[in-house]
Amino acid sequence: MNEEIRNSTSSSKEDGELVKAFQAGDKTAFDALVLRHKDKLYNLCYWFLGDRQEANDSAQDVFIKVFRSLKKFRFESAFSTWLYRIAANTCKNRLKSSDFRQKKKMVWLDNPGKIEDGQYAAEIHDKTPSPMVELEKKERMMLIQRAIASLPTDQSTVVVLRDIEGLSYEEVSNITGLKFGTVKSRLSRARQQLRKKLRGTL
Amino acid sequence: MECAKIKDLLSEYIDGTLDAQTKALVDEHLLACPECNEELASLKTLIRELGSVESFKAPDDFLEKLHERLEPRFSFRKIMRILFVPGRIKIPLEFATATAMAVLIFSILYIQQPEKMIQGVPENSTHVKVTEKTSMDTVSPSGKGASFKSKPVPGKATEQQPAKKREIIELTLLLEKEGTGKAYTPGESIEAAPARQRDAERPRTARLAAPKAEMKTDTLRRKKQVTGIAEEERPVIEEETRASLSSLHDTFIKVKELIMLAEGRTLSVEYEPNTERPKSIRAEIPAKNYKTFYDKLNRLAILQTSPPTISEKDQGTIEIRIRFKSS
Repeated sequence: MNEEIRNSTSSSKEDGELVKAFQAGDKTAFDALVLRHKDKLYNLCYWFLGDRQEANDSAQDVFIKVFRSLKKFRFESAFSTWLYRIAANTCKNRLKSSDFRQKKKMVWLDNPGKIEDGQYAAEIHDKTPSPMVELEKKERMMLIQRAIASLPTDQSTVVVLRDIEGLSYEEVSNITGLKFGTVKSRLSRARQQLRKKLRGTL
Repeated sequence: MECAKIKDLLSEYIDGTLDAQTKALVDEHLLACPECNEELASLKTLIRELGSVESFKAPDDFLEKLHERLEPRFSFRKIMRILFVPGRIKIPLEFATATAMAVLIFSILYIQQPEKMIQGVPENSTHVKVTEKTSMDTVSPSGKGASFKSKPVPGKATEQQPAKKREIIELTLLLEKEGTGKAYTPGESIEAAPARQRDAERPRTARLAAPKAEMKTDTLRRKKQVTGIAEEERPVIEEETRASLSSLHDTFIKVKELIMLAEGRTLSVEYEPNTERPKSIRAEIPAKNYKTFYDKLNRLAILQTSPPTISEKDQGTIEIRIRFKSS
């Protein structure tokens, strides 16, 4: 986790160079930025939304927004912070949209995993034979994802940024625009909720 | 109560963001509270678990798909920028309009060109005036049919009014056989001009007979009586001046001089393939000078043609073809 943070801060300089190159008219610099951040951004969107297709669409939307407004980027924050802020807002709006809610309902009806006490039953659709460990891992992943998705958006955003993406409190604060104390309290509540939801799993 | 407060602090306790005093309080509580210890342990497990979840990677074609979504925007914005950014909008749009108009006009004129060629077919027949169809209906798909209908019929050609713009006038210059005539001097034929003028204004049937009648001076008088031309209108002076060139070559030179005098220009000269004698000369002269030109040419030699129907007020140029014909 710490290594990731170090990597991200050390690469912020390179991001800055690419942004400057793009602003100077080098269109390939944008491609370089996409290649550098696409996986992290996709992963972030996936954990925010819990759906690969939604994550892909949203990540693309984010980069399109970036492309449109990169000329106006004034280096008031790191490029990655700015990128994640756009991603957080895009995914938040996506979660609010009626399309997404409709889709979410359909998925849940098809796969009703929720049982009493707010816990989730293990339900594996993948019938292909795989090692037990792999199966358990997949199961755990799915349960974690569902538990995060069940949190209020303000809590899930903070926990994804802090615990999954491994960002610092400061970075989370910059991305979300929340005060330091608010980030701490929301993260604390989110973790407690998740602990309860995943009691039987972890 | 104490445990609830401690539990709220455990998250920060794990992250190490608590101040020293609060941290000491939590430490102290944890030593005596197994429930909070359990909570701490499970929270640590959760955070560890969340930190080690699988990272999902974007599809391989992510950038490609992104480009697909961005490309139309590239071109669209480019077009918008070119067309609608103030300052740039005016010149390209006006230029585009001007170009479109130019293309349109050019295409209309270009389409009319083949029509002219079709209409130009009767050029070979003598005394046929080719009227150029300038109305817009020649452009329409039915233009061809219309142009065929409007094609001049040789028999009616002389009755038609000539087009103002351009007409190809056939003139046949009837020459005497070499060595029989006298040299032509322009000044000598002045008195003869009015007579020739009247002669030229005779009806077509009479004109057709006239050239034959004017081959030689002795036969001329005889044939004039036949055609009903008054003797006194044909002065004797004709004998010296009219159609008395000794050589075809001289006539040819004179004709060319006349064309130049009429401010015209020679377009082409047709020679007889065997003898290489000039057969016909095609020229272009201003319409206003045609009458004078005709008169001068008439004095030069016997003309087989229609009278000059073009007024001096006519603008533009006319095309003429003068054929040399030995009697």
